[in-house]
Amino acid sequence: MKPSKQRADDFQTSDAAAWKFSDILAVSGVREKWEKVRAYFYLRESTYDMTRRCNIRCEGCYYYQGEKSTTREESDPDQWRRLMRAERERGITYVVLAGAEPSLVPALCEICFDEIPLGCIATNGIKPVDSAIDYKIHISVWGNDETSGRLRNAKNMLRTQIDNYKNDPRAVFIYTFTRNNIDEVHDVAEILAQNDCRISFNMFSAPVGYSGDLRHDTVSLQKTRIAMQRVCEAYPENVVFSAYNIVAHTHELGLHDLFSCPYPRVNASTDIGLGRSFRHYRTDLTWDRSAACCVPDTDCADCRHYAAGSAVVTSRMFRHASDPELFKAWLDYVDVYLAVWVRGYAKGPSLCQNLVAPPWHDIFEKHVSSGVV
Amino acid sequence: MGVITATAVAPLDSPWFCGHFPDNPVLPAIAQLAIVLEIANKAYDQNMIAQAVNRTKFRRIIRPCEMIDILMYPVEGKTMTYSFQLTVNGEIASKGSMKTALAKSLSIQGENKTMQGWTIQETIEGVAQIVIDELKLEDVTPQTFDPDLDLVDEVGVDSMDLATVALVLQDEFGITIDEDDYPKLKTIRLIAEYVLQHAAVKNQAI
Repeated sequence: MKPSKQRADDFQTSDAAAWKFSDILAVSGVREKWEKVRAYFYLRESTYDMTRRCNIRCEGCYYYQGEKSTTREESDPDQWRRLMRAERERGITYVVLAGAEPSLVPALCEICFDEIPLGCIATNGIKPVDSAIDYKIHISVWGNDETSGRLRNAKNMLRTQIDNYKNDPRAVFIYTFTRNNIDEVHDVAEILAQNDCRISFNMFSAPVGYSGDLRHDTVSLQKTRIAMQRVCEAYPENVVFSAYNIVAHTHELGLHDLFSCPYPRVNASTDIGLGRSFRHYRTDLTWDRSAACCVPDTDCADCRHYAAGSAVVTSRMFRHASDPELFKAWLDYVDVYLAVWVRGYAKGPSLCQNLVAPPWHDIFEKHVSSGVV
Repeated sequence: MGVITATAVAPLDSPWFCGHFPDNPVLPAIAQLAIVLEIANKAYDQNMIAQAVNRTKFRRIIRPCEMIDILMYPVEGKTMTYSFQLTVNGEIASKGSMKTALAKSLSIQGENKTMQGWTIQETIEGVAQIVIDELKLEDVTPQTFDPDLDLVDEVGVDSMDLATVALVLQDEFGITIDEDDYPKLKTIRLIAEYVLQHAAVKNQAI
């Protein structure tokens, strides 16, 4: 299903002739948003597993797949500070503190913030992160409390998360759509909106070898697309997402097949960009190029992860600059990415309200009936 | 080069006065800017175009046959940017600053879609101008930019910057850059060679 090189060449030749970049920028609203997002092109990210420990166990958790959770855990603050300084020297300007549960090692998070002040913490939200650590906080939501109790063995999860992060400008609640919790989003979004919380969306992306029933299929992708649209319409002040986010993350093809993932795990080039700079450090402060991506051990063919999209879609600016609608859609996507990931960045109004097909692809895929979407 | 002085006169039969205005001829603002640009081109023996005009005010009407005194000088620290002042009988008619760029790289995007006759040095300077503008580099000019500097390792350019430069190169030079190629274009010289090579291929196809 990957686009052929010939098709890509045809596309580039014909569309490049049709629209100049300067003409696209001249379209109303485009240059303004372009300059706004362009100011953040300096962000260069890497990801760090902070601890092997977690206070819950979730079905399909990325961290406890593969070998990551069996590596030694470095808990010496000096070693972490040394690493962060070396990362800064290497040009890293943005850190993602991930697995298993960073809130359990607050001192290490604080060191990271001291050395590299832009970043994000991915947390289950059960234990609050000290407000002095002024990173974005992504709180994972996997459905309503009944579902969380079943999949995460955690009681009153959403209530606890809201109590910990209500009115916290750092917080974004990340609702992960699985095949089985699509309809629950309406109730969850309503509760979050009533509490004036910010919401964005993730897609369950199966780890390699996962055989459970959370993995999406064609029908669940289409249902999720509709659910996302409805929630975006219902709570525009709370939901941080765009029409193009919906397309990119509910497409029949995964992100890698749609956009060619640039993470080192699947990108051998070290010339420039993520293939050159991105690392995913494990808890022993080592990293492995062959496993380096934002969600290691995810099945690449099924990857629709929000963190992956933030890098994969964003980095493909060149191919989106072929006509104004597609470029607007890309700008909206980057605007969402920055609003979700960067403290102090405010999402602007979307330029593109319609679902726009990704470059070289259809809006879902050709052979699928459009009746549902 | 420092201060430039010149004089100009627009006679009544100048096309600038056509329709501007019937029975009340006034030299248009655009004509005054054209005078500034023409004098800069003559003084520097270049073929430049105006890219932007900043902080410019038009204070006095200029009538046909009035003697216009022009004063110009380069703005310190800004590449190819000039302050100017036009006076008539000692009164300031207009003043401001004009940012220019080499016209050759821009002229090919419109009617003249070939790069025949371009030398590698001219192309290097054209590419360098784009890189300087897009990356907002300071303290460097197209003439002083080392074309063999590694843009990634030595200038700190990242993939998004390079993608931006690639899009502008397509516009300015009328070529198509393959998405797989632009990450490899890591020096001004490599980019210039790529531009010439692809322009040549395009010319053969025309």
